[in-house]
Amino acid sequence: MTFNGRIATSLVMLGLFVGACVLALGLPSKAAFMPLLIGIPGVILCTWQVILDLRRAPDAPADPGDEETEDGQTEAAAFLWLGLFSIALIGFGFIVGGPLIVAAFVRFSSGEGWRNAVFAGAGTLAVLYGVFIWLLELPLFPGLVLRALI
Amino acid sequence: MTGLDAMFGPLFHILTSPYLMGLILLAIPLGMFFGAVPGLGGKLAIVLMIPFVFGMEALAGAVFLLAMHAVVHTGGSVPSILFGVPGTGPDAATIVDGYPMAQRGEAGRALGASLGASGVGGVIGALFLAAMLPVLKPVVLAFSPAEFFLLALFGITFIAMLSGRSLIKGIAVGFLGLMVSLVGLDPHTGSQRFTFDQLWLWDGVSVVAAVLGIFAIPEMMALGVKGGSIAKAKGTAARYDFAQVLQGIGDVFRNPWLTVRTSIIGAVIGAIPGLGGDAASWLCYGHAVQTCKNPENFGKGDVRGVIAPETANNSKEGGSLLPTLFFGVPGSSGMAILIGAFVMLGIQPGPHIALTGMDLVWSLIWALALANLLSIPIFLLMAPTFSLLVYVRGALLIPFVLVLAFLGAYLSESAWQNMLLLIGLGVLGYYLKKYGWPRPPFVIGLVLGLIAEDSIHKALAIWGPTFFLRPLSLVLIALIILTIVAYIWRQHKTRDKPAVHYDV
Repeated sequence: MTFNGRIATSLVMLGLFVGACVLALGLPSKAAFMPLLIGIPGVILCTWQVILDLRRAPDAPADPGDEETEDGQTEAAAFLWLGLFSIALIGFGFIVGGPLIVAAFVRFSSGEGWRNAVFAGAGTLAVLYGVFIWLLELPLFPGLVLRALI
Repeated sequence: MTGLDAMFGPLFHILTSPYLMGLILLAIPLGMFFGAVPGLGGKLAIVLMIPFVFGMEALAGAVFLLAMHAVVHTGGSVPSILFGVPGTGPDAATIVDGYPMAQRGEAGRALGASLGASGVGGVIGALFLAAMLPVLKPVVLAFSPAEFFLLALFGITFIAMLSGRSLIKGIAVGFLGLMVSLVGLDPHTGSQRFTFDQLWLWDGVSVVAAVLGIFAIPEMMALGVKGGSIAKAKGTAARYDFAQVLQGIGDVFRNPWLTVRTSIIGAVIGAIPGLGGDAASWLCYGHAVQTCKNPENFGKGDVRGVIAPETANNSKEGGSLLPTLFFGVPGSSGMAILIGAFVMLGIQPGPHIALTGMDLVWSLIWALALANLLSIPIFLLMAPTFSLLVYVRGALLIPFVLVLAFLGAYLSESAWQNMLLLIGLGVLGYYLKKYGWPRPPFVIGLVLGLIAEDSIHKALAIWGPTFFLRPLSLVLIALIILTIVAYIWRQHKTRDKPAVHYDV
């Protein structure tokens, strides 16, 4: 898994540079100059890295991040929570989505009781409203769903 | 008289402004908090404070962030000494003598020595920066567009070499940062470049959203996967009393030449782009072992072994501001993030600062000195609390940091689409972190990208394709080549030599 993940990361980097170079070819020459000046060496470097990764011994030591430790989440759970945070904050905004998702995380991911979860959610609401809206007078994103409803 | 006004005017302004002084006093405990909690550190501190400085006046925001960043290592010495767990990488050298001191009941003395050394080192670092200004100004002004393009490449190469184990990966990530900086309307032709017909990308990628994505999200995901408390501290917190702390502070002044020497060495190392804090603290520790009497006491709990790395840790911040402010080339990875924050605040580091921004430069120098001085009483008040931070559970920190990261991305341009950018770069950043691709070069590339493009177009227009044959350009090309050769030589040397382990 580590071995494949390492190569996949190098391939993604290579893909980003190749994609940028291909897109740059469709631009006027002046606009394409810099992307190609960076992109071509980028492609060479990443190709080299892919070759190094492929030649790397299969029994190379695993990265620490590969292992699930103690009460830690699996990588899949970490990505799931990132997705949930994105949905909550982009969909329902900071004032509604923020406290809800923080409380949910503290309750279900950290395994704390409901009291601590509600306390964490209320604290988040207090900071977001108190510091950003009341003190700094910054308008916070209301969320796509709530904006459509209101 | 004008020179003195320029020098001390900003100090007077800071001292007489309750707002700026309040920000410095707020920044100090925050910086110490991020230093004292192992795994957080100065980079994350700046990244997470970005939403809070958004909308602030440029000077106030810059003073706040710099003051916070300046004292991170002062807080970082607490877990190093009490638990043998470094708060940040550069604090590891403090463990060698600080932890044995704590084990034999001199924790307070070690903390006091660390505190005094950090304060004095930080002030000397700021003075070093001030002393270098007259020398630096003509050098900066001699640079033309050709040199600035090469300087951008040099900065990426240097940081790439020193922030990771692979130069290829480092340079590739730096180039990716450069590529991302090119997103938006091309300044020369007005054509859309990598915007995919998205209006929010016309002005380019938000530096803040990109920095938050590439640093904050991967750190929190990794913390979630790792689980447990941030540090795996063993044993109980060492007990200490106030008299011991004062004795430790006195030790700094009982070793004045060591303090001054290591402060200057630290500041010089900080001024060399990319050498970083680890190098400064270990080199100064080595210097103390080589030059002090009774070197056999080092490693067994010698207070001089605490003083040397701690002075260097704080004095390097002054030195690293030199290339950061005047060339736009960060002196360390922390400074790379700070540049991103400065850009958001409307401060564009570069040579023009020598002509039009000296007021800001002096303000930052004084903020650096004041933060280090004021950190001493604040540390004395809060040290017992800091020692408990090592037990903070990562799982409780993650949701708040994630909300702040999303908030920072949104606030940077009041565009919700920046949150999508944050997620995309966050996922990429997680895998870059996991598979050893250094991330600081990305920020440098992102910040320097537009300067590099503008410079190369100007250089080509003025001198044509032979622009790189100018004498100063040749010096920079030689430096880039030397950097790469030095990297290869160092890799070769490390392969041959067994790793050094410090038994603490």
